[in-house]
Amino acid sequence: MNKKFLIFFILLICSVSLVFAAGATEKQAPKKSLSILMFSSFVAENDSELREIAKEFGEMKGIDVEVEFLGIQEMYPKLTAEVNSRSGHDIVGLENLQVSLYQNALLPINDIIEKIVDELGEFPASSITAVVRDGDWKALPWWIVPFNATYREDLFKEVGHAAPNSWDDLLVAGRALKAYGSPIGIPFGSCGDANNSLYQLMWGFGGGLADANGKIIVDSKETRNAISFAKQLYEQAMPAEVIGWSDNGANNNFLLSGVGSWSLQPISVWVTASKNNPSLAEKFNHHGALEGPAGRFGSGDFYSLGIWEFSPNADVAKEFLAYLYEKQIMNRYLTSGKGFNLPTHSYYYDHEIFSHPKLQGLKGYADAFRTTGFPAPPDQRAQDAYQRWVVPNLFYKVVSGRVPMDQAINETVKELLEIGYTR
Amino acid sequence: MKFNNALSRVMTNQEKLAYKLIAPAILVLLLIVGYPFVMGIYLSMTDATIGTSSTFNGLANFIWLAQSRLFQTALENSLIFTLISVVIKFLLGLPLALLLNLNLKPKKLIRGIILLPWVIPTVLSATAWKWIYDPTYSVFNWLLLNAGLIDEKILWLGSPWMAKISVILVNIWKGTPFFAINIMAGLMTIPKELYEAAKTDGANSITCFYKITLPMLKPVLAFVILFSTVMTIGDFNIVYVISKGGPINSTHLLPTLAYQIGLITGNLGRGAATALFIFPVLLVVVYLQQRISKNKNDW
Repeated sequence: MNKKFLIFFILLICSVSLVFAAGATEKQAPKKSLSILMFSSFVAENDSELREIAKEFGEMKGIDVEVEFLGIQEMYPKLTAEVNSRSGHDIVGLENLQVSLYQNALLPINDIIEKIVDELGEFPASSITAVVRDGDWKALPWWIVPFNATYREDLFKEVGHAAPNSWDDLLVAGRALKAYGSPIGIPFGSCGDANNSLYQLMWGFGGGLADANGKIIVDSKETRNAISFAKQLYEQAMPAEVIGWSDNGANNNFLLSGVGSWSLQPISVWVTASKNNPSLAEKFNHHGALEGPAGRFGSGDFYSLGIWEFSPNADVAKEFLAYLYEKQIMNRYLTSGKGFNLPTHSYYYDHEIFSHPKLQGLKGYADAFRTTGFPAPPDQRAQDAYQRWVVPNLFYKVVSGRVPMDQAINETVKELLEIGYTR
Repeated sequence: MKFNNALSRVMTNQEKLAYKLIAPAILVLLLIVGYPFVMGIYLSMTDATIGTSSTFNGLANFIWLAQSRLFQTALENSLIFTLISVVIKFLLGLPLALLLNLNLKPKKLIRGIILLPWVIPTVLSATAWKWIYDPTYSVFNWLLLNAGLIDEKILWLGSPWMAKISVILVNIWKGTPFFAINIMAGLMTIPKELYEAAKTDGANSITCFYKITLPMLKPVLAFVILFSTVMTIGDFNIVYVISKGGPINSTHLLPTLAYQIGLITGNLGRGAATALFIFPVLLVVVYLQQRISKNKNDW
């Protein structure tokens, strides 16, 4: 045999043997582990705290715990890939109706929920709607980012108004503020903030896209009243530019520029101003959901934690979820969020963080909170309607004057039929 | 000795050697491009959603899409977006290439600067453009207001047509260097003797351009237009970052719609069908490009 070929062959055999040996060595000493995929919080300290909590849990149990953070939009392809390949992380963070999207791949955690309920009491209706599917708890309710209002207390005082309690109060104050040169604003473009703002306005007037049975109700007097009110608000209290707000940062910029006086926005504006412009931050305050003819409704983003049913570490994953809801752990986590995260369980509603003068307006917001798509079932159709910007598009068409009300409603009905709702 | 003889035989048969050398690259292409493509075709003919088993449903997804108003809007937007962008990129790229082909000083620096929009990652440049179009902080509006050219802010993304123009502008800004550099490369291959002979016969610059430059550039233009068409029709990042398809779906393109249907709403079958819908159109474009490239030049 040729010498060169012989040397090459021997080297090849040695390499392959080393690879198999390494693999075998690994298999002989498996160590339990837990991997968590979490969405990045707006407040960086939140993420650091979760890492710390996970590390402590790992040390307590003698296991490796790894936490990976991703932006919300990046989560969709990542979670889809994990479900389709049936491999990936053990625990995953879920936003809004992602529970519905992935419900067939999520492990029921009824046993964990029972322990929490025994300890702390029942979860509110919004949590049940958000994560229970076919009678099973598919995820652990984690926190809500509320779409309360952020407003300039000083400007409201300047024009002789207190924080609005109702949508009508807002219109009256808004007229005065616009005349003063400090208008209010909510987005009407294709963005999550527009969804959250306009859904709660629509609900406040008794409107909606579909009812609890999936029957289309958008063609109603109540929805038309909501849209007409929004048009009044836009024309009398907002600057023309809000019609061009097409991303979630637009209303933040509006308020942080010092021009805007009110918008529906979590405390992120105040948090940002506190770092970059403390004197402006001092002028901001927050209030809860506004009352409309049909009641007081709030919106926001609901976050939960699920375990993949194909996770090889399901037992320890359940232990971690239960650990997160222990009082000292949850208290730490809420403190690190600086009030950005509303707890989903009423036991924690009175957490000390909400006694801050700027955050007292958020107390009780979770009771007004409704999940995406309300009153329709929180299923894939609601997700479709949410992601197609059905509500913002409907409002945009009429408020901008591009499409008459009846035509806009008819187009929306057709779109909802396409999505799978019924007449 | 035997090894050397074997090696020598392999090196002599160049055709067989060529196949052996490109085999690894083809294998990688089959894995990275071929497999997902075939899977996409399969998915597009099923009712696949995330986490559930799928069943074959033939062309049902394509029929549903064809009847969907949202899909029709996205298809129309994609065709308008591609047609306008590619035409303007060509109209800007060709004169830019002619300029770059001149002996300007400093030539390399100018060529490098021209290429910048093309090489900057699209998400990064789209984010910068989003700031440029921002309703509150737009630098365009600031410049125009301060120059006294406008009295009110322009809502770059505030109306359907303005939003369309805005995203098309970004695509043109990004893609024109691709046209310019490739056409410039093509210009450099045209023998100078042709121009000298033409000038000797009394041809002016315009005649030289139509009778020599354009015909000689035909294969390069066909290649560049084809690639640009494929890349433009598949453009996702610009719209996703800047407008998310709004307002009222006026900037929704097939890739953004495929992403929304497939990954955000979880309907993998329809998402795949959306992505593949334009494939037959692109096949026609490729065929036309091949026809144009094969035409021989008589000179």
